[in-house]
Amino acid sequence: MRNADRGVAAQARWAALAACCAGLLCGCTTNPAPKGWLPRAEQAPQDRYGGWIVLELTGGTEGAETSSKQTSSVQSTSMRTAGARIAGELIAIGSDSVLVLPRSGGLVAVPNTRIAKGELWGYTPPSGVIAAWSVLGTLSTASNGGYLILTAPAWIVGGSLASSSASRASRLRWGESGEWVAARRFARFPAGLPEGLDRTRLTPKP
Amino acid sequence: MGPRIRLAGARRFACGVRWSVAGLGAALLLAACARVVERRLLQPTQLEVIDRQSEHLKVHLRNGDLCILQHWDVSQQARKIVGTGTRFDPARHEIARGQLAVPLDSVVLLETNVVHAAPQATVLAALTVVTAAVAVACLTDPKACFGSCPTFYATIDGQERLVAEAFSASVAPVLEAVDVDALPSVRPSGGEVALTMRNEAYETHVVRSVRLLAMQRPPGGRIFAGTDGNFWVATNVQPPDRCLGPSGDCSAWVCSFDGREYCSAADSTDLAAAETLTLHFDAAPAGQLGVVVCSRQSLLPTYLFYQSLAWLGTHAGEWLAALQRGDPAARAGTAAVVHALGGIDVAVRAEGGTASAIGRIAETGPLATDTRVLPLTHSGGPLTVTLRMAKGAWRIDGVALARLERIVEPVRVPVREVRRGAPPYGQRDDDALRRLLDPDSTLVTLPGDIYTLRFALPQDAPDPELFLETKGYYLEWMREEWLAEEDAAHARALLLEPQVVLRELAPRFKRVEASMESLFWSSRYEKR
Repeated sequence: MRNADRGVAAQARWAALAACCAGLLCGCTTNPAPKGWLPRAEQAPQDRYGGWIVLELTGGTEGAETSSKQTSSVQSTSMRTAGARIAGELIAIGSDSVLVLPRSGGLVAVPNTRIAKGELWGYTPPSGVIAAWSVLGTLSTASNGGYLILTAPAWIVGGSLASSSASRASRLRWGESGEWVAARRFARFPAGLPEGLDRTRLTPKP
Repeated sequence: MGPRIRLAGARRFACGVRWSVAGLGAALLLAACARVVERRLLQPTQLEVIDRQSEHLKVHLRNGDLCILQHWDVSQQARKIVGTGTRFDPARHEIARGQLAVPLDSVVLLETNVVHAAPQATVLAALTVVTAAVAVACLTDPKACFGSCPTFYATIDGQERLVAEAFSASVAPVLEAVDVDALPSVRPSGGEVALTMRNEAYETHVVRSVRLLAMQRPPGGRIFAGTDGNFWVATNVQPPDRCLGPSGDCSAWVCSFDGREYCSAADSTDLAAAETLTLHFDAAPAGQLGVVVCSRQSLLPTYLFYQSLAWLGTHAGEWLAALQRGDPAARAGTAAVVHALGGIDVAVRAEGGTASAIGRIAETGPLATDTRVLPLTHSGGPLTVTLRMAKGAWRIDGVALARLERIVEPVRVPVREVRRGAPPYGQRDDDALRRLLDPDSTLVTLPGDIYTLRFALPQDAPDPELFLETKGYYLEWMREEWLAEEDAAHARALLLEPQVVLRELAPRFKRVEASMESLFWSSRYEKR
């Protein structure tokens, strides 16, 4: 084999390995919170805020209630368009509504009947670490000589599954059996909004 | 087939190995970061079941305040949670810090968070361990790889056992030689013996002939192959009365032929450093005697051979060619390396006399033990036998003294039938049979090849002592990973000043000595 051919073959091998590594990340779910907003797992025990929630609303005539400092009262905001989204800190989950505090402020109470889809992220999932580990592990199989035939696919399959699973480690979804009840754990007020609390005093996480 | 020369590939491999090791290290560091949180909510009445693994306790109050306590305790009497931490208002502004006391009746929920390794990390950790183990096996020392000429197996007590290895020292065509190995545990069945010949290493075996040597075993006696090339009828085989080595009494290993071998560790400063075993026979008979030694090499000579090939690297082919041409320098260098490590030098001393050398055991190969007898004449009485050898280079199964009665001529039994594969499988291979029977032809085998050879024994030897006589040579395949170690200066030094290099290599060999045995056997080539 000529040197040039060897070079091409080597490039092809590295390209294949890189493609496999990229494939590792395909099954991962992206965390939608603003960068740096969610605490890492080890910071979660000292974090004083709720998780990040994203709600997709159904179309309809009834509105979500909004509180603002400007009005000092709960406002009704009509969101008639199906597919509207509300995202922010999960403040509390009531029996009939979910309270969300967007980054721009103004507590929003979303009636359960308006929620088409919802996702809550309690903390930053370890998917980045797991994916990086999987990629490095796959690359490290170059040290396995002929056994690479066995160890590289094991890393690619195992790493893909682990990365995909890890990306959902801190995610809870609306409508999945029992999960929404568990979502209370990641609310700022897990026991529900305290009685008599002035909603306008609530400020978003900086 | 000659050695493959692929230096560029070897460099890429070495580079890949370095990057892979760095990658594995980084992966282990990342492992510490893959964490998940197990969050639990408890009612104030469930204080006694709080998970104490949680470093922090979050206390949610009825008014929306939150206390995050690091060290806390519960005062049941005062109905308070007391601890050190921070208190936040509902907007999560800090309102107090330090020692806090929270009345239980103001608490609406308690929250614990236990951070632990992500379960996905367990999967990757297992993969990391496997990958690292494979990498370590490859990195530790590729010169621990299985190798050593054609191996012969026989079915003994229903199990296939390694009984001989052929022409181990014949590593080039010019070194083609006849090799004789004792087969003391092989017994004919129905007047026939079947031996399985395997190529289990990355080697090309060129087998010119395989024959059995059969001699009728004398009543109560044995027949041993002598270092003088003769076969001796031996009687009155007696073990030593005691055996002393550098570490004291070694009788348990050396005084019987039971498979329990004496083998010391190599010297940590000089691989050629010698040790001496001293065997005492208190009442040796007078007359023609023989010292019987059952031994095999350790993996040290194999390591040195592979190390020399690694240092020769892309020039290994040139060295073999020079050897083939009869180049005096190549021959002298090779002989010097062999001589530096040496064999087992055997000497005897009668009571009141001086020690005299009676010969050297130099049978090559680390796999199967071989038995040799060294003749001597003794006037009777106590006899001391010494075995001097490089430390850690030999394994001694047993030593004995025997009376040598006479020299016998063996019956040479040719192969009757050859089949491909191990018994009971395999097609007849008449071409292989023809090649083994024709002295001008050879049977060439490659890694994974297996042949079963059948021999019909003569009728006049119902209880024969058997030996395997093989002739041929083999070519070691160059391993890519060895090429990464190419070092002309060391290769030259090994051939010209082997004693110096054996001292230099000692610490390096000691690092792998303990694991060589398992690496060696696990790297055996098997065709699936």
